[in-house]
Amino acid sequence: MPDDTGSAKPSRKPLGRKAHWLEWATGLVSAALVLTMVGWLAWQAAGEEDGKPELVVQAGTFESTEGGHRIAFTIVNRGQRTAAAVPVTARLYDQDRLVEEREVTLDYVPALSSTSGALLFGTDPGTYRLDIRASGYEDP
Amino acid sequence: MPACPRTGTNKGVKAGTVKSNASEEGRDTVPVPGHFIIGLGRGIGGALLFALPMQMTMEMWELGFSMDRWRLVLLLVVALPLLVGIAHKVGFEETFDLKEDLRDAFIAYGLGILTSALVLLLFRLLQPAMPASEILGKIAIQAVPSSIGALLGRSQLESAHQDSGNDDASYGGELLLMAVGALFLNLNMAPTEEMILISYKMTDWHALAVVALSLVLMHGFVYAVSFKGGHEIEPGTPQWHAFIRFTLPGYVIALLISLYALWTFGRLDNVGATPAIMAMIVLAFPGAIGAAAARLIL
Repeated sequence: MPDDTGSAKPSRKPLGRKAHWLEWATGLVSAALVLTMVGWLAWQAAGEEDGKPELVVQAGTFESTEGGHRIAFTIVNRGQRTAAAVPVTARLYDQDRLVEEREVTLDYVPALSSTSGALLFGTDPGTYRLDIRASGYEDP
Repeated sequence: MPACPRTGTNKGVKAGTVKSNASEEGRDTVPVPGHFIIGLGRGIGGALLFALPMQMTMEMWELGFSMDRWRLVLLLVVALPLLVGIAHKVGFEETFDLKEDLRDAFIAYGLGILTSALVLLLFRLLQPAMPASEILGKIAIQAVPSSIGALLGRSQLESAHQDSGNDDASYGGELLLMAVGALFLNLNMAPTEEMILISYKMTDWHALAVVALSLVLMHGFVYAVSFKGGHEIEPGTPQWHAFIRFTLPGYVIALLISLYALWTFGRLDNVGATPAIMAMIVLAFPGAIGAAAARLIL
């Protein structure tokens, strides 16, 4: 090794060549992708005022499990902001009498997205009136 | 760059400061076992250096059993060509053909699995009572970053590493290096909840600012590092040439890797387009810096 000190590295020559057309193609495709992304976000940002989460809970299927009953649900956030720590409460009513109440807390329901989960009851929910809703949320 | 003196690449400096004669002898001859064992040691060191942050991350343990199995399989398969690509640039030995690259990639994979299993055992995260799928899942998901670390360990820890392969780095090789650099910072953060939490806290305007800052920082690195290392870009090339040919593709690579990592770790399930893009931008911020600084850190 003639150049052992490492203080200078003339061997790393800058390859006196022109850029291949493929490099320009890659660069231009990348530019298009980044510009599209920025454009999309800017368009969203311009359209969005001060958005709030809009949570809708839809009860899914009832299932019998070992020692209980499961109610699956999907929670949709149609708002422009994410909701955090969302308690989903489900109550079973016999006429106006509360039979059973269960609650589960979801970490996040992102904006314009959905999350799913399930609540586990002791009594068979099939025979009662079900009330399921998101009881609140935190701003993340 | 008048501010940076042309002291050669950092690898050149490393090569100069501590010079062992082992690799010089091994260059032309069949590697001696002792040299190979030292290489294994460096691989283990690299695996720990790279993957310990992930091995000590709670989300990574949970992913071991909660992660979609097909995504895990895909991750394990995708890792292989990546490892071969890295092996081609920095292996346990100087490699010249695909067979040796494959061998190095598999050695690294093996070391990654081994070190992950040992570390997880040490932390009592693997217990006999656990189902096999959980034990395997926990090891498998850690094995990917560990194996990348094991391969990089050579260039990180080997004092006498002469990156002869990098001197005539092709454009593709340059992009691969950027991808590895992006992974280096990305994988540490991708599994954590903070990535999506930050994106939830930000508005679209904040995200746009992060994009702008990522590009500016990247270009600073690309410009500074490229002239310091004196590779691909000729002196006198206009700034915007380098921006289009290196900075933008590098950023897109960081974005794509972020997107893949988020999807793999289940952060994008049922998530709308805008929140997904925001999370991608957040994660691509460290990824972009890693990609641009790949020449310095790898």
